[in-house]
Amino acid sequence: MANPKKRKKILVFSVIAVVLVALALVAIFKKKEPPVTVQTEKVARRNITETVVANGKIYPVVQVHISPEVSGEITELPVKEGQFVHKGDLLLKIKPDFTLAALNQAKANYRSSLASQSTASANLEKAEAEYNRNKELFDRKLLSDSDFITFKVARDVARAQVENASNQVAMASAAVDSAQDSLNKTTITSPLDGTITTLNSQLGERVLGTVQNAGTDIMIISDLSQIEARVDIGEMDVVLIQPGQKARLDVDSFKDKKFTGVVTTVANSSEGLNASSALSSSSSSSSQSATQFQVRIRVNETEAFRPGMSVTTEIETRSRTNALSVPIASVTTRIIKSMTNSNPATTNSTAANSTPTNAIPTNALTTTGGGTNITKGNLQKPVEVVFVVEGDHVKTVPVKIGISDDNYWEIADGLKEGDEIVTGGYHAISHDLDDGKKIVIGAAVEPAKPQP
Amino acid sequence: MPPPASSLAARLTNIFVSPGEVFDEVKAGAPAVKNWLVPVLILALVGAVSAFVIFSQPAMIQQIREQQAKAFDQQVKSGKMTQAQADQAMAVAEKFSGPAMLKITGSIGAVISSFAGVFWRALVLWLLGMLILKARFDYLKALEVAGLATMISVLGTVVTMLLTVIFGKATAPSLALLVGQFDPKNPVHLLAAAVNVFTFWQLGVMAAGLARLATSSFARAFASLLIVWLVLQTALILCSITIAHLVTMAK
Repeated sequence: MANPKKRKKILVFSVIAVVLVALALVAIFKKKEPPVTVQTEKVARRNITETVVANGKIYPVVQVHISPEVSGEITELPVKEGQFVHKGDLLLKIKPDFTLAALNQAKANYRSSLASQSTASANLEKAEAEYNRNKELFDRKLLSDSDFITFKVARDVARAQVENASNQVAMASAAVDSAQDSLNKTTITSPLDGTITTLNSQLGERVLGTVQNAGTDIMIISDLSQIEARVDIGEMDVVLIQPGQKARLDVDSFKDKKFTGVVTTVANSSEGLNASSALSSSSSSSSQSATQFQVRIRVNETEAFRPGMSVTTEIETRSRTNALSVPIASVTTRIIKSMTNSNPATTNSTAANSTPTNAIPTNALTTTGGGTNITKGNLQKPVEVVFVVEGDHVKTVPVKIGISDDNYWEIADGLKEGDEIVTGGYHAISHDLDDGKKIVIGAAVEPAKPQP
Repeated sequence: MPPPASSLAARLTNIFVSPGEVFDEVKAGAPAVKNWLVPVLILALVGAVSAFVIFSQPAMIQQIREQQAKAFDQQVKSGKMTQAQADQAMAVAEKFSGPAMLKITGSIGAVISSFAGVFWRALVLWLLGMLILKARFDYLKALEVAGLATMISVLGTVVTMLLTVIFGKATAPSLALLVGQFDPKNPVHLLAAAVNVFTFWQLGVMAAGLARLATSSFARAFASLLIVWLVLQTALILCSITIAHLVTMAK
């Protein structure tokens, strides 16, 4: 009984042992590296337009702030906010009592000065007559020197008084003109055809007006027939912006409509430059804010824009026609380690056909990424690379990128048309793939269905 | 006349060859803790080693990372997450699902499930004996049967580990081997995965033990165990499908 049982036991365990050993051997000698699932695409030629995106506000090109030059109470205000006014239309009147009194005073002073001038002329006439009569006596030695000098001085004084009186008349006349001008300024008319976009004051309100300084900002009149977008551009992009460049505009208020425009001016100095300079001595926070330059874009379309509307612009800075291009997602960066001994197995025919002037030769490269360790001392800066498909492996190829649009990079050097490159997935390109990695081409992640 | 008692080592090996004889000894002998504790400890050890080996495989780690990346890509494409947020979430996920963390959690899980599993199977045997087969026997006896039958799981765990290493994905010796691209939402795939060689072997061994303890026929014991297994598997499959759909809807 024992022998058959023992034989059965040996047989069963032999079978188990054989199966386990066979599986273990397969597991041990199986290639460890798993393929990375990727999506690929051929390098092709496309038209690429690079844009700079910026946000800003809508403003009228011509916009006038109305401030009074004389102070007083508003007695007439026949306009309302949003009203269209023509050049010369009455905007407001300021109570003229004070300026009218000033004008009357100036006129009285003028008349007084005229009287003074007449008196001075009469005095001069009398002084000259006495001088002439006494001069004859002096010439005939009938008058002493001292007496003659007295009459001469009296005549000169009278002349000076006449001149002074004339100047007083001129001054009084100018004062009358000034008072008249101030009186005229109590009535304010529109300096242009436009729309009153802002009205800050009301009838009966007292406004402050001075000639030298800005007075009360009563209203703003805007010419809405010419509209521009004023956007802020960062210092990295502003060098790409030039007057005359085309732009596409999205105004938040007109969601379904696209507008076009042309860059008219680019600021020469950053916004708040003077302010930040003044503040820099007292606060260091100003230096932390982003440096922005204002760019003005004339809008081609005439729509019911209102000043202050938010706008997003895409300024077309550079464009390439029929440029070699790859999807943006296919370009990543890797740290390249140079090798002294080039490996013929890794030679890339593509790169060899178009040797980059500033790229590292691709037949002398190994790459790091996805956790691969590299020796210290051989570290270099990360460079832009794409992964070119070679059979079931990928080859890391450094590329020289040019301009880009929303979807594609221009490839200035490193690839040729028709090369098959890895375009996805994101994690494979950014982390997993490396030079020589085995790949398997699989389906991309399906876009999520829109939520009801 | 009870058969002469064999050593523990003999019982642990004979369970593969002649489980009926082993369970005759168990039924005749006094309750022995070593009869269930040692096999469970062996299974816990083998399970922990398997978890360590499986989560040392780059393919497994990459598979997990690809699934995580796919999930985050879907979130980004549906507009629920920006690419920067997805990168950040991916970094966090990689931190908590790294190889070391997976090995630790896998090993702990293997130990816990080994002990929990044997007590659960013993409970099922005891209840089946009492309610279906109308037999009275101690729970400890059922525990010994379930424990000794665990040796089949030990072998199954080793084979599963080797298959996983070979195929680079979680693979058990089941009908799921015939499925090209396993879909966890497909009930047929899930059923195929449940039809495991070692599961049925262990069911058969446990049925032999139950038949001995309940003094019943093997066929009746196996049929009752099979029905319980089918009910539990159906419930598990329905649960996993429901969870998968809930996760999809939540995304």
